[in-house]
Amino acid sequence: MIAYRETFLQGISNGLKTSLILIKVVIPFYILISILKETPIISYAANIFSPIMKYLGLPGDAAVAILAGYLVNLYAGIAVMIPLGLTAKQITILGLLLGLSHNLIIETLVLREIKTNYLLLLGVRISLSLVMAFTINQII
Amino acid sequence: MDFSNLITVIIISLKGAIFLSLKLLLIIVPLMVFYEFLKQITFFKKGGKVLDYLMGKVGLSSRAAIPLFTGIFLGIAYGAGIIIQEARERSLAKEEIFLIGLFLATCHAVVEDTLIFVIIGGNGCWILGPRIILALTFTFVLSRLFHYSNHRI
Repeated sequence: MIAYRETFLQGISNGLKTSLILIKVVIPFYILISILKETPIISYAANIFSPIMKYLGLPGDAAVAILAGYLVNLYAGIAVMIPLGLTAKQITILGLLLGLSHNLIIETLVLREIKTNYLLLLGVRISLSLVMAFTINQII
Repeated sequence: MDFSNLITVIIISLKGAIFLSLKLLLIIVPLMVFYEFLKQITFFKKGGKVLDYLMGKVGLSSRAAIPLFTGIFLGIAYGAGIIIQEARERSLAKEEIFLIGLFLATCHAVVEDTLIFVIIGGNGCWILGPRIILALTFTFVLSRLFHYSNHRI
């Protein structure tokens, strides 16, 4: 027996909560990065990283999205990505890269709390994200 | 960049940000409702059995189930409380905690993470597939290593 009304309301409530968490991050980062795009800061960072990005099949300024994802979280990374006008393939590569490795500061602190070798896990995540991005860029 | 230029950029980006937010709402809310109904039906029981079998294959006991599933579906950061609590209360072996950590480090919050990239135009199979394969392979290989040696991490 399913309590339709309760289940429906629970779903709405969970959906709104999750969406709000995302929206709170997306709006400020989206605006911030749009402003930064008008300044030389982005192209400066992009120039430094573009040699590496090339191997991942990504434009230089995607480095900013990766840094935002690594340090803050996926939604910060996505908010930075969207104004860059990437292709579907580049979005897929970034999706795998950031899926494997994001929100590193907070998540590494969480892993430290479960009393395990968190620094080793951190190293594994970052290496895997770069290796996998390089690999699927060759495959797809 | 002068001041009026800055205002223009802010207004345009605010519009873009609001549009993206609405898109997120329109996709996530119905999905969560759907997910709630799935949970009510036999979804979790059947999924549970399959995952139980897979867990055995990668060297994890059923005691690891709660922290593992919380992490897989909710994410490390969101499920932190449960993972920390479970890891302590159940006094899981050090090796097993590391295996859970390894699995979750590569594969967590998979529904939400994948969906969000699909919304903006990515290929879900290529984003999710490698993560699942990597998590299963790594956990399997390491559990064998732990099994055949007394090496402690």
